[in-house]
Amino acid sequence: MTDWQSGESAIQRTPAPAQEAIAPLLRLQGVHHTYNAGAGREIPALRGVDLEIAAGEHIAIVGANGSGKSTLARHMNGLLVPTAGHVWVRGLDTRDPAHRRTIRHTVAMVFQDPDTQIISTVVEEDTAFGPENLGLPRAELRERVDWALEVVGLAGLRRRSPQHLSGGQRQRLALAGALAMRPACLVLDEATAMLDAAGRQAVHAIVGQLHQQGMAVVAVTQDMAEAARAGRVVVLAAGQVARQGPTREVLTDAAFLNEHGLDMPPATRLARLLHARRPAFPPDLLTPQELVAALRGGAR
Amino acid sequence: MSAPLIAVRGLEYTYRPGTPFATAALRGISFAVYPGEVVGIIGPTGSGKSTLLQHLDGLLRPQAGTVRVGDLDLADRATDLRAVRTRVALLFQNPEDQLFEQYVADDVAYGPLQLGLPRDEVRARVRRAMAAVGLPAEVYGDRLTQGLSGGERRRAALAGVLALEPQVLVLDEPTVGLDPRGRHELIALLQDWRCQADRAIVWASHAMDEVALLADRVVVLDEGRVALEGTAREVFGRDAALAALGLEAPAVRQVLGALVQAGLLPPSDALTVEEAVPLLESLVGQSDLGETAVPTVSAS
Repeated sequence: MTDWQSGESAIQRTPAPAQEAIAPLLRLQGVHHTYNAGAGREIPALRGVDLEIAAGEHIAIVGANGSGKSTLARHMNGLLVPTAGHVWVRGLDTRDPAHRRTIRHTVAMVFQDPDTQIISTVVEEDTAFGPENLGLPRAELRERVDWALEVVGLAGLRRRSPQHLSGGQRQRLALAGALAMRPACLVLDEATAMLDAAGRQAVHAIVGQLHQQGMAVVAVTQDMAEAARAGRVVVLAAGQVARQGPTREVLTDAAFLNEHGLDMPPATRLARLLHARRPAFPPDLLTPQELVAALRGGAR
Repeated sequence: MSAPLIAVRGLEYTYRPGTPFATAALRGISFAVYPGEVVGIIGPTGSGKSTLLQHLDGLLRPQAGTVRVGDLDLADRATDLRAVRTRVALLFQNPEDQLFEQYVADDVAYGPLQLGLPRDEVRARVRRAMAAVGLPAEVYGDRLTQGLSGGERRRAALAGVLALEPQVLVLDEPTVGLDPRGRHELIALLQDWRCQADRAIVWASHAMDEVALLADRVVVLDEGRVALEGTAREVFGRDAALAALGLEAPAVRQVLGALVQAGLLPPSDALTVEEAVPLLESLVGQSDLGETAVPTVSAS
């Protein structure tokens, strides 16, 4: 086999900049964003955010309405550029238009309302829209579209019009469009807020599977049960990072969450109440599954 | 029992009837709303919830069947819709998107002005409605609608329908997109609002925990029909039937359900955290619970 050798020589031909090799997937440094900057009635949405996200991580971004979550998410693939500070995606500054294409296929976004993202009148054409703009060869384009529609379970509906899909199917179509970019990182901005339970579970299952395969996931959410699935939680307040840490540590800190207008996940609330009555019961459980496991242990 | 405020009988509605794109949204719905109750409407995406709600204030006219608001027949083209809307007010999904006046008080005044009320009466109503949603007119009346936070904008939109001083408030996913504090505030003020005699709320939602907390009676829609109906306790006790419809149980019932399946608890109709904790506590109490009996969860 000489594949790896030719791969090696390709790398030698175009040596990656040193900082790219060691750079985290995403790095935000001192990011400020002010809407209407210099046009009167300035609205400061982000006020100095420092954040790093490693390849393959799963983080949740939570915070009150108006804390800057969506603005922050839109900085992660250059949809917005900071009014001060820097965002690097694998070492590439999002401020530099020359990097835009590379950045957009490294970090893909899915929003709350799929209808703002669906463009074409045929499912498979819509999925192909993003990668088409990358100028891929036809065979690869086809392969990516097939794969993305397969992953989200819409392969059987590929010739349909998005108009004739249900709300949950349209959100999965928006997800397919993002996946067809083969991103290293998927940013979900309240992507399941409008879905019913079945739709939400379907998206969670797909995203969980892709994360297992190494994709980084950034979930912006109001749903604490969804946040509980992440490995790390970032809490925004008034445009700044109020706290970040392991999910279990952040989402079980009742006093801190309350101060920021947030809830504990429902299972955590139950665990805390049980702990108050039976101190030996663990207070720091996050999911119904953990709660059940602990109760089974107790009954053994 | 007193006479219903709203009575729906055999209601049918098809979008684009008589075309190849005809889609039946409602296929014979009957239910009633009585004074003093909160009726929760749940069902998967596309089950007809929004279409049904739009019939309750006359936004849509029945194609078959009847909708009566008190003595007003909404199928009758001669019925004055302004009279209907003094009794039933509908708050759309994401209503803050539809604030269009520059100043908050003007937006709240829009509905009552459309009813042709005298100026002094409008002014008094705006004042009452803004106080009820926690945006007192003295403080918020002259604020720019665009300058309000997401939660404040939602409450301003609610003030706009409260100023119509209806008997029945019809809410389509009123808490979607609000942060936990915003949700708690909205729920508390709606509970206050309906405390007055003869008022009722119709509440469509995907948030099962909120429906379980608030609704006296729950109507479950599926494919344009009433699939289940009963008290919140009765409906949420039908775990299997809800799961078959792709609906999620409230968080408490998810935990209880898993424990019942594991053979650790007998089935129960507990719905709230307060009801669940004693059941779970008894389970913890079955063993000599020492530190070692409880699986400790390591930080992830």
